[in-house]
Amino acid sequence: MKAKHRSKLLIGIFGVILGLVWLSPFYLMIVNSFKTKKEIFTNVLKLPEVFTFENYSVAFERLDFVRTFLTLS
Amino acid sequence: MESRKLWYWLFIGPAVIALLIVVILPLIFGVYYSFTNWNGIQITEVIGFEHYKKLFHDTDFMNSLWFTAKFSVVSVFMINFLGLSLALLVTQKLKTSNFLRTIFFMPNLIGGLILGFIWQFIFIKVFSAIGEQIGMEALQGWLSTTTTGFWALVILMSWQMAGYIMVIYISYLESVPQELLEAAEIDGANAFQRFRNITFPLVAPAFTVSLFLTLSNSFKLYDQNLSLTAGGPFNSTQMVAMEIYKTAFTQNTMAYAQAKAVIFFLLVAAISLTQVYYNKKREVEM
Repeated sequence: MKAKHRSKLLIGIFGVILGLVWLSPFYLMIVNSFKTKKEIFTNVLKLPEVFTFENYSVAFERLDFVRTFLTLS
Repeated sequence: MESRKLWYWLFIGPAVIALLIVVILPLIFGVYYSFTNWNGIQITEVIGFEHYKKLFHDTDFMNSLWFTAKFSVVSVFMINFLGLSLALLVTQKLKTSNFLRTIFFMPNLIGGLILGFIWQFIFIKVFSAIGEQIGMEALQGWLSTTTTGFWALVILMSWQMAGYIMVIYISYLESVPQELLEAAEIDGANAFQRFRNITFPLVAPAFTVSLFLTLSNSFKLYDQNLSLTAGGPFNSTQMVAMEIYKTAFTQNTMAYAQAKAVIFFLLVAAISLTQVYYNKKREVEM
């Protein structure tokens, strides 16, 4: 019974690691959305040194989310 | 009896009319156009099998067909292998099972185009950043050679589709009767034997569905291909759907593209039907 318990724990750890691998592209997507254009090229993987929300405001202005959504539906 | 028949047609009518207008008629027109010199607006001449003769000597088309075939074989295997493994993993009654299911399914919530752009960034920027860190030259410029571009597409597709296929496998895995597995365990069968002789035959219907879905999706792949490699380098990672699109709208040869599409349709239909036929035969009745 103990061996079974241990193998289950190993499977659980393996599952969590696999889940993290699966999520990694989303991590990059979210983290990079807070970086300045320059920092995306110099600092690809780590968290941004300076958090900037500029990308969001620019995207919101250019895409005009409210109107695009209304047109879609 | 008469009024029942009337109601039957009244209810089925809208669906039949929609199907007729949106699917059946365009198909018939499309096949007809492929025998003419249609340019998108008008037909001046019916030229018979001219286009079909030409396309078998079209190296671009043949190359993309070969590339698509290779891609489909590899990605169908990868997606189903991953999907089944993930399904087995999350049906182990772990504490994190439900959470993991959500995570593995998540790539399906985003459209293929955007995923393609995210992975383009990963293959170009992130891979080279990791390569520099650990000093591996092989991680540089993944989308600039044909072989690595091919694997990049396979990785992207497997990552996206595995979660979807996982859901199908889960539903069949959960309907496998527990008493069968327990009886086998008492009789001394190990985990692999139980999987091989009980679980595997009982999830055979899931294979029929998943193989069909992955096969037809891999063959028809367009958006991931467009946003990840855009066919480059030198159109060597261009798949059939993209080749047909380019023939139609970049080179403006509508009827020729239509002929290619008809051949492509026949090919995909033939492969899928054969696959479903053989898989159906393998299914066992409970």
